[in-house]
Amino acid sequence: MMTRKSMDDEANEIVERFAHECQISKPKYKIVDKAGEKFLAIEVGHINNVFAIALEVASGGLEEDSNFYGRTFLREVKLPSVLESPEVELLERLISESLTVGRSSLESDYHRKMIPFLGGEERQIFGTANHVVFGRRGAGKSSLVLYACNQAKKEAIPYVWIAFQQYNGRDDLSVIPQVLYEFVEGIERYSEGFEARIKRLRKIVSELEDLDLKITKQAINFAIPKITREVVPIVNHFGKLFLCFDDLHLLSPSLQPYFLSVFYSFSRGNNISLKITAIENFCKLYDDTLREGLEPPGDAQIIRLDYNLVDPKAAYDHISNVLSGYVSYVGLKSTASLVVPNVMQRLAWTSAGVPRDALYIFQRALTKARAAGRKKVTVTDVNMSAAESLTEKERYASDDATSDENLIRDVISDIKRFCLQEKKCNAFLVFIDVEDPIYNAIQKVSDLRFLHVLHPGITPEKAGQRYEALLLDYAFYTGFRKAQSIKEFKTELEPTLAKELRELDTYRYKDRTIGPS
Amino acid sequence: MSEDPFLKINPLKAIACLETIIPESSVVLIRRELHSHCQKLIRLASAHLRFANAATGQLSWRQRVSRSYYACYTASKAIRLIHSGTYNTDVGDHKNGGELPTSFPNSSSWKDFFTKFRADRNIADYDHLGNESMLEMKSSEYVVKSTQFLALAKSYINERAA
Repeated sequence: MMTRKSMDDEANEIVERFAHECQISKPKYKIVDKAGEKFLAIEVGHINNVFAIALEVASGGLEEDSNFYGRTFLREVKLPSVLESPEVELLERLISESLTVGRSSLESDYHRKMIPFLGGEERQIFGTANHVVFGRRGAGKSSLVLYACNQAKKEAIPYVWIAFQQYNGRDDLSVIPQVLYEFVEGIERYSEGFEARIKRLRKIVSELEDLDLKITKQAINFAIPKITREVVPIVNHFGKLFLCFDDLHLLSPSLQPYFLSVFYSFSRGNNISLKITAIENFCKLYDDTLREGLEPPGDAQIIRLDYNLVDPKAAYDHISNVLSGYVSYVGLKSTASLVVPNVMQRLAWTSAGVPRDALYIFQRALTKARAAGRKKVTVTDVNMSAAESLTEKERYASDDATSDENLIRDVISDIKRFCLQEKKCNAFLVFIDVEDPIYNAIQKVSDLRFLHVLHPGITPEKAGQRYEALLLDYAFYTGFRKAQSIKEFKTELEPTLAKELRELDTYRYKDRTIGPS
Repeated sequence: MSEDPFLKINPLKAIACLETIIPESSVVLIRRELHSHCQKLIRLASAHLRFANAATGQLSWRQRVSRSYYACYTASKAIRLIHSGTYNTDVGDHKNGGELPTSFPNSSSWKDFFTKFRADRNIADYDHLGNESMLEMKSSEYVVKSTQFLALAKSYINERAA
């Protein structure tokens, strides 16, 4: 005979299921009497829809004769510290999930939130034109393309997402049949009624793939019309298709133009829109000599997601908006309820307006503040977390900069020496010479977020000679607090004045010996 | 309670079964009648809420909770009627007050609200030893939340009727 579970056991099981659903630690709960009926009250700081849905799931399977059938609810209680609340735990989980954005993010909580872009870029990306989204790592490139995929999903438009991580540094033509294979796998999801075409596509691509390293451009060019013939009827059935390439810059720049030519040749005029993300200075869209690739703006429109520190207030607003989205999603009243004054300002400067860096630093700062028993996140927590973010940035630097990793490391070392030992200031000017390999390396250092643009071009000396104003990333000179010996260019959010910029020292890279000493 | 025979059948199911046989004008009439019932339920809900709002005295917490609960429960009946054609006068239906369609905004949060509201309304109406501090939220907060719920219910019903 089945024995009825004790009230305590059943309450405990429901609360455990609730915690599992939200992926948080088990919250406190009480069994309460309401006019003679027993109810289970789960304690949270603020009720939100995530908790409500989790409770619905956790108590959904209860039998009618169970102790709490139709008698479970969320109870708002004032917790001694908001940082100890289940909502903050949920917030940390959500942030952690969204630090890696990819195809799978469409299935998670992440895409339910609308990350605001400052220039309304989400309106552009869903258009039918080809788009290349440029921005530094963490600027929100993948999120923007993911937004387009999410819209496509809602409108039953097929999309194929191809991440380039696994093709990192490749310059061989075999990449092309391998990506084509992923493309065929991607459209197979929409192939009902087109099975024969998919089968033929697989055969064409497999034949190309079997050539291995003996593959030639001629063989690929020969296969393209055959692929187009099979793909177009499928696309026409749906009206259009989005083909997304995430982190194209990971492919060797020598292969990028031809690679793009191949996909452009069968997408052009066939209702296939290319949505590409890349870091600009590691990307070569078009080869003038070979006349291969995508030539903007005719072949593709460029969207730049670079907030940098040219307008510190805009960077601050962007970071604040991104964080507010998460905070309100978990039901917390405001970001201000989690932080002491000046924290958001510090976060904007230390992350230089890069949303993912801000989220990473903020999440770590939350953990530190709680571990220290503080009621709110302080500037010290942000400083320490910013210092730790350096390891994270360095981890990806070698991925993004495969071909000139050594030069980039030497440039970083020399700039650190210039700023921290020679001038003891965190900002400087650099002469713009796009033909100079060192200047190009400095641009790449900026793309890797070790430097941040304060102004793209001023003329402090002779007319016609332009200089860029840059800020060295805070992680290099911040620990428990900012190194006292380093003069901070700016801490407030007002627009930077030309006078302030002209007073900066110039990093004269042409006169310096850069490289291993 | 007067019971309209129209509510004993499920009008939406009736439409689904008969729409290939009966003329379009008859389907329109059934839908119009359904909407009319929903509007009357909303009117009744509003009357309950007016009563709750009028009970301003400190000692009237029981009336504020009880009447605003009935405002929400009646509005929930209208929502369920327009969405799935169901109408239930059994006392057991109080447990279904929070069973709102998933298309209703934040339906899970409202379901949670209904569970505690039903529990606290029992205190307000039946517990002679009860007092306001035993409630999950202040009686005035219940009135505010109920006003929000009614506004959402009205727009939900109007959208569906359109």
